[in-house]
Amino acid sequence: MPNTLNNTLMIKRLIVKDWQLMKKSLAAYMIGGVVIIGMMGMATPLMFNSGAIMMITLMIVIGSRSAVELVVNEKKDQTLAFMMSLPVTAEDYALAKLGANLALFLVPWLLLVLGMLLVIVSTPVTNGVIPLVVLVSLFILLSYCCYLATALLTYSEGYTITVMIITNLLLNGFILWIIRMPAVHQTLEASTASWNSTTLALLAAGTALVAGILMLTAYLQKRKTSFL
Amino acid sequence: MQQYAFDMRNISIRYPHFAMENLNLSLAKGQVLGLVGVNGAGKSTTIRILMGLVKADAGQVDVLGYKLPAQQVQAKYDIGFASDDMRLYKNQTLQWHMDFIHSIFPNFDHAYARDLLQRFELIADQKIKGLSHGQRVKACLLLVLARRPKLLVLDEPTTGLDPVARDEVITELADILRDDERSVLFSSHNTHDIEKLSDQIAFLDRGKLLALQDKESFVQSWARFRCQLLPQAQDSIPGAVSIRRSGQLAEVITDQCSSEFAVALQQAGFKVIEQHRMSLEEIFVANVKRNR
Repeated sequence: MPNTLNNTLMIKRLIVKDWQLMKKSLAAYMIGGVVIIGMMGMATPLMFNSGAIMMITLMIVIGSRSAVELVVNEKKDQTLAFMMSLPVTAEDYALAKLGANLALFLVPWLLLVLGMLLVIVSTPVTNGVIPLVVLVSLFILLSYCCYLATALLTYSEGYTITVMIITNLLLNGFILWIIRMPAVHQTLEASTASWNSTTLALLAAGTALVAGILMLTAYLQKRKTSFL
Repeated sequence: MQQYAFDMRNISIRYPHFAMENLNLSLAKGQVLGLVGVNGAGKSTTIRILMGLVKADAGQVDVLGYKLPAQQVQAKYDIGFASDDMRLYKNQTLQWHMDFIHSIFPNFDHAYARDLLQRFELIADQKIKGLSHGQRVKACLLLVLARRPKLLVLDEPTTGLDPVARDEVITELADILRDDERSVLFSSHNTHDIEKLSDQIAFLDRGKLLALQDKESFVQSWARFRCQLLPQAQDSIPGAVSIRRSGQLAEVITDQCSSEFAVALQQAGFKVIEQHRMSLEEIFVANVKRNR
């Protein structure tokens, strides 16, 4: 029997359980991702740009589905009481949810980003778009962390969807803003990826924000005294 | 020394529209305690504190020798909890849930689970979304009971069931709960269900424990007297919980039913016409009214 300080076995079981619940959807998303990467690989401006829009949409769908399905709906569908009857603390449960959601988003997100980068470096698409692709993908990850944190801290469908809408609107603004940046715009057509101080600073800031949001979420979860 | 399945001492918790002050509630091992209260009385709050799901503002909770909420992980290995607002994963089968529970509780009794499947007329391979509410309740109970927990906590498990399904669940539970080793806390606002299952009964209202006695004591000590008022009838009678006058007649309720009380009635100018035993529901209502 695990002690209170070491309930990793139960946390792992809860993560595996969430994987089992999402595996069919995840497989479908990955098939969709492969098709989209194939489109982008045709390397015509029309197919690449259409593929990029579809890829952004797919990433948003993967993130929102996992946050809503695994967190918000667990409260809404009243399966949370069932889970909390098991030998877990609220902290264990929150950690498992954080772990499962991150894994369920990060794995496909990483595969899709690597797939896009592979297409870019192996086709006539100019490698200069790599910083743009990476930064937009990072923004999508950051958006995901924002609405995952909202879902975990509030279990509210309304708040979570509101944050999703806001982050999706901000994504449009972010893409427009970053494309107009001289540091990005001037290197888009370059044959090699050009990481300069501006893009590196954005990359570092995005990564720090992701880590900060996740740590803050874990901290606030720990302070909760009422869980159901 | 008394062995407790759980012992809650001086529990206090405050919400914006609800407060529980200094609640003391305990259950001896092997006993079935029925917790009766109207909606909002504090039954679910009490159970959530007992399960470590809500942290009380003050007080101490011991369950099966473990301090809660600090040792809730260890305690929950021996506690089976089911509530009316508990649902299973609708897109998964009951078998999936049984396998999941077995992966957590190695002593999950498959033979007993199969037996319960038959008794509850459930199909293991059926998806939860295809089950009726009554079947879902039975599925939850199956998952809890097959773990063979030392303490079973059932929070209004019969709420929302149609009369037939409720009778089936209660009948099966009564049969299952004969196990003398298992302690049970059963909450409901339905006194009939509580009466069928419990050894001891606690009344809860507005976060306060109004009474805690064994079932027989409640039924024996409470009675309703229909009386004719004599000219010298007094306004109050020692031991009377309520006196309702209607013309020359009066209805007197007591929680101290005895031959002495009948004499006291007579001496107070109340001539007894009839004496009735009270149902648990009537006792509960009288208890609540007295304390409000």
